Amino acid sequence: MGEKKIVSRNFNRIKPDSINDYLEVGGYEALKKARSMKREEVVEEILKSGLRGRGGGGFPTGRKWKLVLQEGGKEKFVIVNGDEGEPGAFKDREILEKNPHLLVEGAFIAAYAVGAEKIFFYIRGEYPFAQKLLKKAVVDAGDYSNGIKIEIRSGAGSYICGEETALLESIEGKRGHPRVKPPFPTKKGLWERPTLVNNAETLATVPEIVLEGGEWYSEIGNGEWKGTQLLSVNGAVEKPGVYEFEFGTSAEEVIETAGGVREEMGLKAVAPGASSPLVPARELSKKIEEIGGSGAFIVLSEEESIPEFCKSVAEFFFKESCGKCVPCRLGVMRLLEFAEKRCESGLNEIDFQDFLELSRVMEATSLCGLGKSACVLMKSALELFKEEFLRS
Amino acid sequence: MIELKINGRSVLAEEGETILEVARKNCVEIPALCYLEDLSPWGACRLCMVELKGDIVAACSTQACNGMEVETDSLRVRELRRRIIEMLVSYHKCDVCKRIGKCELEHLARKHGIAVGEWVKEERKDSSSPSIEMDLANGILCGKCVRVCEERQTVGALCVGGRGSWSKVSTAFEMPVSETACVDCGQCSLECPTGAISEKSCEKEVEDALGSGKHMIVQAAPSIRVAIAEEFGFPPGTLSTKKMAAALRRMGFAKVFDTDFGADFTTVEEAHEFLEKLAQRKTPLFTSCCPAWVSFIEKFYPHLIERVSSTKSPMEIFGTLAKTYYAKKMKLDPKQIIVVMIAPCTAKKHEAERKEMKIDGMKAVDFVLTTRELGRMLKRRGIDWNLLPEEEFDSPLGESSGAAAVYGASGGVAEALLRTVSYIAGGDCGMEFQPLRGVNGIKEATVQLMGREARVVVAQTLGNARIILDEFLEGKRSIDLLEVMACPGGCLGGGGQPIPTNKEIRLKRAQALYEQDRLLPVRKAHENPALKRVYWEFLGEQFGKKSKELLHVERKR
Repeated sequence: MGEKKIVSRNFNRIKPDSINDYLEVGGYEALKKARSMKREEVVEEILKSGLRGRGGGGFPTGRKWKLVLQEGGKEKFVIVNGDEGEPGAFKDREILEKNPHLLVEGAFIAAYAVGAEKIFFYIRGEYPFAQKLLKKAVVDAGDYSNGIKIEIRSGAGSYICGEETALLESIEGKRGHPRVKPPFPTKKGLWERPTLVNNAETLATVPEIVLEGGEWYSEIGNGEWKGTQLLSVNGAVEKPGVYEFEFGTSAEEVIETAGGVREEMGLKAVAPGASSPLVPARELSKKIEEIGGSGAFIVLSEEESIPEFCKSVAEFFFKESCGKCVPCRLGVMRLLEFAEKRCESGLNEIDFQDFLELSRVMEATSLCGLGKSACVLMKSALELFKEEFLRS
Repeated sequence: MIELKINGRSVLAEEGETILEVARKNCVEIPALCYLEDLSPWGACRLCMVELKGDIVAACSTQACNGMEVETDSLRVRELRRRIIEMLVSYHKCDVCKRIGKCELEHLARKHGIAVGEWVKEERKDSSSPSIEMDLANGILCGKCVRVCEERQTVGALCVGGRGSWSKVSTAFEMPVSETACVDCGQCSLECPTGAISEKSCEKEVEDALGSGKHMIVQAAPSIRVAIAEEFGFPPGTLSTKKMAAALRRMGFAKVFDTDFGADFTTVEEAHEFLEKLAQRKTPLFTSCCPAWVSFIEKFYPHLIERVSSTKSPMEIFGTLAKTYYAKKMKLDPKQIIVVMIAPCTAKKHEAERKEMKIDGMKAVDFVLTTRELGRMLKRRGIDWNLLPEEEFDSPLGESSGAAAVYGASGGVAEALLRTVSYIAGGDCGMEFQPLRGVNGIKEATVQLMGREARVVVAQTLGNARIILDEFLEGKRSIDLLEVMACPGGCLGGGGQPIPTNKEIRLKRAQALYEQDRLLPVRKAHENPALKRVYWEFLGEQFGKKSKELLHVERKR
């Protein structure tokens, strides 16, 4: 296992703003191939490949496509979720900035496969350069659109709009509140039409699967997790950046690939974003699929204070909760209070129990994933680094 | 039909019903602060969480399925529910609030034995509107007000603003409510589970006026008598006209009169106006008694304002006659008369302020109290509804017909008009118009008038009014008479009525009103003897020069 380039194969090899470069390396061949197949056959290949969503949820992509395809001949949409907001994640930006045509091609294939006539690219507002490149790519790829319309929408700085139903609300021009599910977007999505929402990396994987076949892809990876994953490795490593790893790669290998922990520093833990549990130094043999998260890989050195890190995460959720459901809106306030209290006076046993209770309530009752996972990181930190939180 | 188990008991449900709906039908209580049956599911309060074989789901937004086993009161559910209530009250300000005793959150907290906290957020009061007052430190963001305004009324004056934990109910660009599209209907204050949005109170002003030595007279709208007893724990739909008169007298009013008296004038004047328009082929005519509806036209369909009847509302006609006819008759200086209105409505507070309603620079109606405010004032005076005697209204502004009684229900104004219109035009198109009664959002009837068919349309809620207007503007619907009441059920479901007001309660109040009409000796407005006397002694001809001057206003953009 280790580094393996599928999505990032042509990164830094072709000019991102040149469609000719992309065509030279076999660009849009997968689209041609897909369009020569039946829609059902394309979906079948994706099903066979075992590809799962790369936005963090890990839902089997082929099943999602099938659900939208089955919705009959109504108006349908494909949405490319490029609203990458997880702290420490920047792998979707890499795709947009290094090979935007790959994403456009993937989106075209998806639109063909599910029978959609319009694609929305929803790109994080903080990625202006990526948006510019994407715009050019969309214009240049006009000959390949086959009548499919494309619209690029920019996010406006909200984390919650990366949640698929809040994203739908945002495109509809409303406040980014997650919707009540069901109905799921595959049935009633954008303007109540069947909608396929896929993460950018997921769709960027599609052209290669169509070209090489689902079976080929399903042989890469480890167990239930097929293929590769882009990781935004950052923090205390020598060569931070986006790397592509085959599933089955361990955290240790990831750090090695990124040049190892920065000189003269020990490693304390790895944080896969703000909403997944920490991985302590002694568990670096863990595989990337066990670590989870949505592509962030933050390496924390010995010098890092875990409580301070937790506080910054709590502040993040405090700002980014959408405010709709009670347990999240008020729970993140409590979360921040706990994190701040630690930094002022330290926590005691009663605080620990109260915090666990809070995390149980938020996990069980929050409306969307944000609230459900807001306490996860701090909870793991309390288990792993309890002594750092105690009253000093 | 599907079958599922709730707390071990088998129950039947329709396909598509949510767990919450099924549970409530079967008398299983699940608390929910953000659920309203006619609005889209919101899923924000998370109090309706139930357990499905270990999974925790929100009952308001999960459909019942065959074979489901729902636990609404398991240990885990109880614990989670308790924690959520604790969170809510710990960030809630509960010291002084108009809703004490009727606050859904307070009720829930007490039931669960949770002390209500006093964690004061930043002050966020908005008293800019004449009709409603917002104290958003008490808001729990259930989103009912936002959805009522957007979905039921299609006004959209309220929205959720701010980020994260500082989210709050707000207006566009955080403007004062008075500068938004708000039409003052007050449905938000009726549906608010806490005291975050309430009627703009003028209890203190009325108390002060009662002690000022001026000549205080009071009028009560048709729908108060079927609702006020609810404030004292009586069942909805208890008709208590006579106890209400006695209660008002005990508050210290010199004369206790009736808005129904004014309503009969509205009917007669508007009937003439309608026949004139019909003859000139200038219909449709829109009714004008609902001030929220008039504001709605002004704000959303200004080019249609001339379609709105020029006749003043019953409240304003009453006020006008009180300060002209009554003052003259009693040899009183009109400036010494204070007219207090008891309304089911918050928008009436705005109507009373309108410039065009003034007579000789005076407000025709000085203060408007809602049913809820009246309830609070009576309670403060220790008035016991059980012990009150039954008394009559005073004369001469207290007599009315059955046509005025039904003004309180949606369809009532149209019905009252038709009773009189057919008399004036000759012929008889009947007394009771069943197609115009009932709970449907849009009701229609066709009557024979002046040798042609006249189409009468009745809409309740502004959302339905918008549908009618848009169809009319697209040429898809022809209308001669359009009655709109902004609140569901008409005034009896008004924004100032007792809390709670829901579908069943509205139905019971309506039944009481129609019963009252049926039992009255005079059921047509033009047959009201007191009305005839006023035209004879004071106004002269119906729809004549003086009536037009006093009882009508110009509707202009």
